[in-house]
Amino acid sequence: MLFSLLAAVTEVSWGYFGAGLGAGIATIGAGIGIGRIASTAAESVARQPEAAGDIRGITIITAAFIEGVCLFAVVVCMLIQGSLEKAITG
Amino acid sequence: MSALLAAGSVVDHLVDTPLLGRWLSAHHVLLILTALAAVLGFRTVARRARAGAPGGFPGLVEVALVWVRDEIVYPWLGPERGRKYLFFFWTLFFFILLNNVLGLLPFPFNLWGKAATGNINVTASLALLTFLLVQASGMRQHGRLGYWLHLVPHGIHWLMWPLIFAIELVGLVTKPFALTVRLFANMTAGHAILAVLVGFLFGVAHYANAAIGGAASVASLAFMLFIMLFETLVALIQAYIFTVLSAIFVSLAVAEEH
Repeated sequence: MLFSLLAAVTEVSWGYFGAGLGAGIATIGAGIGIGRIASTAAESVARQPEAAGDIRGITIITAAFIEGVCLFAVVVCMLIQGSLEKAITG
Repeated sequence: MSALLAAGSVVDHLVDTPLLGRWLSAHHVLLILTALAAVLGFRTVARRARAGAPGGFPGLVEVALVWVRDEIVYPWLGPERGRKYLFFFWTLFFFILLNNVLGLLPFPFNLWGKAATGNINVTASLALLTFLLVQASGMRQHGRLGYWLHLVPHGIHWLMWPLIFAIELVGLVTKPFALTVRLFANMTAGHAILAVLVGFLFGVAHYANAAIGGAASVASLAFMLFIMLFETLVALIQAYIFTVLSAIFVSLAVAEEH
């Protein structure tokens, strides 16, 4: 079974593997970043509840920026997948 | 009806559906629909709101317009200059917002379940508008040549000037590029997650027995509900982020040296 698995892996399969791995690793970075934003925001609101409105705005905007960076990597992986599809069928 | 909703794969839900060869596609129709809805809707609201304090739906639209003016345009551009750019940012904000939300509406309102802003050509056009506005504002403020010469901040040693100029030029281009990809990827990713979850409804029962299929369907529907709510939030936030970043870029371009 292992031999058939190894025989089935071609260069194109490695391409898909790379695309998926890239998207996953990019999500790790986004998760860490947004988690830190959330923890700092909660701490700041606990220190100073009157600033909750401002902190909410800052949290949402910065979280959207970090998510945008993660999605850049996802877009690159989608491009890889698209060109692999074209390489297979074209 | 199922021919409109069914797709060969997840990716078919994300890319454009051609309707008339190269001339018309699903995203085209959605853009035209949004434009018509915006023009007719705002005209009706304006007519009803002309006589005194508006209530009901015109009041809601006024709240949204005032919010965009006081939270996005005036803080970054000031009242006098902001008044001149206000219509552009209103158009930008509501166009992006209506397109994002239209992508979430179900079948009779949105025949393909796609979002026009999930097409990178659409978001690139919007970012191109922002880019042109930034350059035009900067050139009007600092003079046609002065704007380019003032790209580099004061106080830079003259040896560093070419390098900093090159970096600033690249920055001028990457900022609209980031706007494009951010909006496109946020809209596409949301629809991709939804398409995969819908695929679970069809696929799990096909490959396993009915009991596992039923449980997976319930879990998939719960997830889909959550993702739909989250996508609504993302639609609003991304419209706000695009507009506020455009306002920031214009304010950077017209900033006076001090």
